[in-house]
Amino acid sequence: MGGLSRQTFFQGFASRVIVKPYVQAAPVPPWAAALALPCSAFAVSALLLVSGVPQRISAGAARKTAIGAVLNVSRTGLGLHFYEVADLYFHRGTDRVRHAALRGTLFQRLGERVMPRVHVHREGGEIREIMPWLWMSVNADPQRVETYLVAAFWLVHGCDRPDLALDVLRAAAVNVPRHYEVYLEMGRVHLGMNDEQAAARAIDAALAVWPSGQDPDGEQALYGRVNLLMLRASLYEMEGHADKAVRLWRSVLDLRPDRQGIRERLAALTGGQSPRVSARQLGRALLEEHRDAGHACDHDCEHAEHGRHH
Amino acid sequence: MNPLFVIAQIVWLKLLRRKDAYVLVVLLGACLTALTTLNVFGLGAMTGYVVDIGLLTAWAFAWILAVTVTARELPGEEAAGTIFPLLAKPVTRLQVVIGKWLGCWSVACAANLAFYLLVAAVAFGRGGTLDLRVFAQAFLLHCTALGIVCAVALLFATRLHADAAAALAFVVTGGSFLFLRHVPEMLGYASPWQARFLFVFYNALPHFEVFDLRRRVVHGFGPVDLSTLAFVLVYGAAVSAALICLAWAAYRGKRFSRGSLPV
Repeated sequence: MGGLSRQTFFQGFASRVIVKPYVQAAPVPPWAAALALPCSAFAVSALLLVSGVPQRISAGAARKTAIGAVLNVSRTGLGLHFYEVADLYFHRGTDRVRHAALRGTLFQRLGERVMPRVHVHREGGEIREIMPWLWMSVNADPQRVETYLVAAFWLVHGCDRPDLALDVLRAAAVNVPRHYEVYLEMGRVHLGMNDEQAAARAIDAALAVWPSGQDPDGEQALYGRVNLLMLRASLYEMEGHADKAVRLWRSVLDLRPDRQGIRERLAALTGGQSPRVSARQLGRALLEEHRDAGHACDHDCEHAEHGRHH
Repeated sequence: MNPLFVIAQIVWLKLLRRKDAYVLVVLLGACLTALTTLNVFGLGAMTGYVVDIGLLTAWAFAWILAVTVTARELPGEEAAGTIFPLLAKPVTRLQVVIGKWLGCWSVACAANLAFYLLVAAVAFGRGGTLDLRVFAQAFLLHCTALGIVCAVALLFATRLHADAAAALAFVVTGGSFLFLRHVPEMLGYASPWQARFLFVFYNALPHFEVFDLRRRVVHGFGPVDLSTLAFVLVYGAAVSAALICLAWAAYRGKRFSRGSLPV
C-alpha cells in the first residue's frame, strides 16, 4: 500500500495547510459561513452608505453602546436600500446609470440583452408595486422623513388613496415629530380633499416647527417656507381673511422678490379688488405644481445622455 | 444502465435520506407566507414584491443546496472508504466526476423547480399574473447557473475536505455573483496593478448575472430572444464543461488513503 500512503505535493499542502487548520479552528458549518459573508458585506456597505449622515448614526440611545451604533447603522442602511429598491421598481427594474471604466464587453452586452436598460416609469395602478418597498423602508428606518413623504405622495397621486396617505403622515408625525415637511404634505392632502380647515391647521403646525433643524437660510428650508406661506395665504383668502393673506404674500415677496404674479395679486388685494385667479384656483395650481415636481425624475438627465427615455 | 446515471442515482438516494431540500422548501414556504400576510399601508394584495423576494430566496437556497450537496460527495466517499469499491468497478474517474456532477446538479434543479413552483403558486394564489414564458426561461437559466455552481464545488471537492470545499465554493460563486458585474465601475478607481487583477478576474470567473432573469419576471418584460437565450445556455454549458475538465484533471492522479480526509 506504499502508493496509497504517498501524497502529491498539492494534496499534502491542501490537507495540512488548508484543511486541518480549517477543521480545527472553524467548527462553523459552511452554510453559516456563506450567510456570514453577505451579512458582513451588507454591514460594511451600510456603514459606507450612511457615512454622510453622522448625526443619525450617533443619535439617541444608539450612541451609548457599540452594538447600538452598529444596529442603528444597519437599520439606516436597510431603510435606504429598500428606498432604492422602490426607486428601481418605479423605473421598472432599470437602475441608475453608473459610470464604468470598461464599456462594451461581451458580458455587459449580454447582460443588457438579458435585462434591457430602458427608461420607463410605472404608471396608473402599477404604482402600487413600489409601495411594499416604501413600507419596508419606513419600518426599517422610521426616522427617514423622505420615505413617508414619497409614500404619501404616491398614495395620493398613484393609488388615489388620500385617506391612507394621511395615515402614513400621522405615523410620520409620531416617529419624526416637529418636522415641517410632514405637516406641509398633510396640509396638501387635506386641501386636495377640500378640507380647508384641516389643511389650515396642518400648515399652521408646519409654520410653527419650521425649519425643523434645517439651515433657515438654506435653499431647501427657504423653498419649504415659501410653499408654506403661499398655501397658508391662499387658505386665508378662502377663509375671507384678506388682511392676513396680504401679510403672508408680503413675506413671500420678501423671500422671492422675482415673483411678478404674487406682486400683482398683492396689489389687487390691497386695492380691494378681486385677484385674477381665485384663491381656490390658486390652491389647485399649487397642488398641481407639487404633483408635477413629484413626477419629475432625477434619472432624466442620466438617461437623456443615452437617448432612451420612453 | 450507464454508469453515469448509476452514480447520479446514488447522489439522489443520499439526498432523499438527508432532509436538506425539504427543510429549504419549508423555509421558503414560511418566508412566502410571512410576506403574504404583510399589510402594506392598507392597500391590499400585491404580488410583485412577493415574487421578487421569493425568487431571491430561491436563488439563495438553491445556491446553498447546490454547494453543500456537491462539496460533500467526493470527500464523503473517500472518508467512508466507499470510493475503493466504486473505483474497483469498471468506471473511470472521469465518469465518477461527471456522474457526481450530474447527480448534484439534477438534485439542485429538482429542488429549484419546487422553489419556482412554490413562488408561482403563491403569486397566482394572490391573484397576480406571471408571464410563464419568462418564468420558464428564468428557471432554465437559473438551472444552468446551478450547473456552474456544482462544477465549482466539485472542483474544490476533488482536493479538499468537504467543509473547506464548500466554504471556498461559496466564496468564489458568491463573490462572482455579487461583485463581478461591478468590476467595470471599480476599474475606474483601481490602481494599475489592481486593475490588472480585476480584469483577469472579470474575464476568468463565471458571470452569473447573465443567468439572472428575476427583473424580467418581476417587471413584466417579455421573454429573452432565442438567440440570446441560446448563447447564454452555450456559455453556461461551456463554463461547466471547463470546470468539470479541471475537476477531472485534479482527480485523475489523486491517491487515496483510508480516513485521510475525515468528514
